[in-house]
Amino acid sequence: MRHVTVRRAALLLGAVLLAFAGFFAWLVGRQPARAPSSLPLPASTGAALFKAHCASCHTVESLRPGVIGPDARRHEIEVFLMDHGDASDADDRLILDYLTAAT
Amino acid sequence: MTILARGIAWFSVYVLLVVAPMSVAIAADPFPLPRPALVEISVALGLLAFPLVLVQFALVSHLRASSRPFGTDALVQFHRYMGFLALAFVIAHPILLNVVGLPWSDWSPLSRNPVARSGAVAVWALVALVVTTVLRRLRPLYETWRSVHLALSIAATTAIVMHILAVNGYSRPGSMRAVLAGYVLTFGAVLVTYRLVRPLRMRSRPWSVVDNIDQGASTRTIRVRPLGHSGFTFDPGQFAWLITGASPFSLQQHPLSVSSSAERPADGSIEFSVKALGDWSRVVVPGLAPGTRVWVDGAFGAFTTEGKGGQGFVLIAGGIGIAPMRSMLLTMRDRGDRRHVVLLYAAHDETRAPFRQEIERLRADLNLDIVCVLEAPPEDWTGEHGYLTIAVLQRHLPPHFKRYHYFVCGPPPMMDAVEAMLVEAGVAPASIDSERFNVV
Repeated sequence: MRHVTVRRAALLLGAVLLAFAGFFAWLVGRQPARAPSSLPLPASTGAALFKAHCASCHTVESLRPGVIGPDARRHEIEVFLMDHGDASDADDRLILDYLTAAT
Repeated sequence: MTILARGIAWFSVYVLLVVAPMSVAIAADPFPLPRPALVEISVALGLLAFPLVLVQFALVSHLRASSRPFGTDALVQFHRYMGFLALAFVIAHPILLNVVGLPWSDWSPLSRNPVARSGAVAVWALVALVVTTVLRRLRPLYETWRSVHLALSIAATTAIVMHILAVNGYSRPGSMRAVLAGYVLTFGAVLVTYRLVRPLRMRSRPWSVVDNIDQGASTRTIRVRPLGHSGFTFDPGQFAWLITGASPFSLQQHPLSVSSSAERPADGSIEFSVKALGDWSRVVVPGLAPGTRVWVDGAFGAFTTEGKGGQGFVLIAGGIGIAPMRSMLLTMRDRGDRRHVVLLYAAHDETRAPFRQEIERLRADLNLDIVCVLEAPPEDWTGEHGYLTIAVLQRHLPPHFKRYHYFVCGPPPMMDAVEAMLVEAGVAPASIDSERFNVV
């Protein structure tokens, strides 16, 4: 009856791993959400670059509070943009300007 | 450590290996701000798929230590399920990103973006891997399938590693780079050991075919003896890989139950019984003349009477499933084991029941009851006929049948039915062992 045990173990493991994936998303996303600005974002080269390089994983609302405001971690975001993804450093600066200009 | 404890330990190690990269990613989270939940779930599935795919190599790498507590057939079955799970995770990973804006064109393996290209290659290689495995059931081109399977596995794994490095997200911190390198080196070493080192070692341990006997019923028994070495010991019911061809690197590697006694003769020879079911067994096996050089890698598996307690054994065989049972019975004879054995042997007709006469003769030396169930019996047949049903089982199970250990080997539909019937009859599932080689 080992094959029955194996089937059950595989199903259980799949369910546990899915739950773990959900737990992972919850854990890494625990930082407090900030209210997005109601101001419209200007259309610019930075916006296009953001859409091309960042939008598949990040929203403007999730990154903007790190660039502006009292809790801003602008330098951290700048370093992150430089190190992360396949945009050039110049493009990263335009994206940063776009996020800043959004205010 | 008991077999059960070893099994639990191995399974725990497996789960830890699968969740370790994701756990390190949580600890080393390089993203300064939260991202959409769907993105993180997608990444989590990717981080789970990576170890799932790499550990697949170890599950089918002839590791004796992990074969004993589970049985190689169970490991192969688990390998198949985990392959499906990894594929599901790998496909869900980009789909979730598509939902939040990733262009669908990134599914193309020809994309100019290295992140998308490596990801797409990994997805399509895994899809091809699973499709070719499922299609293999339609036509048993075993050797071709093995080559394709290995090539696609390596391609998918390489693409996954390249994708993770190209994304440069959670893999950016040094701790994650170290974990990734550790996995690649460890499971790369497993692959090299299994595919290169082991065959190289086997080259100096050849075997020679001594006899190749036609048993009738499309079955041949091949006796092989070690040349210049002592061979290996095995437990009755275990199996070994018989490798035919020019060298141990040959793709003609097939798992076969050892059908001879575990009390080997002085020359260390062992026997395999092969039914002509596929291209190799139909074409290559009949041509294995005495003197032919072969290689044998063994012994593996948990389907054995060794270490199994109880008042006795109930062996239920269908067709060539009699091969490991023959080994068990011959071993009991050679060891003077007088525990009670009931053998239920199902076959289509008398001509398709290999070893029946030989096993009948074992009654003289063993405490053995034999029940032959023929689907198409001769006119003068007085024994059981038709299929092996619960009524047949109940007629022939010993009085204290719950104290016996059960071994089932035969065509998968028969094994499924028999296992269900045994449980229905009151046999504890833990007392039932079965051997399945068609799980790929």
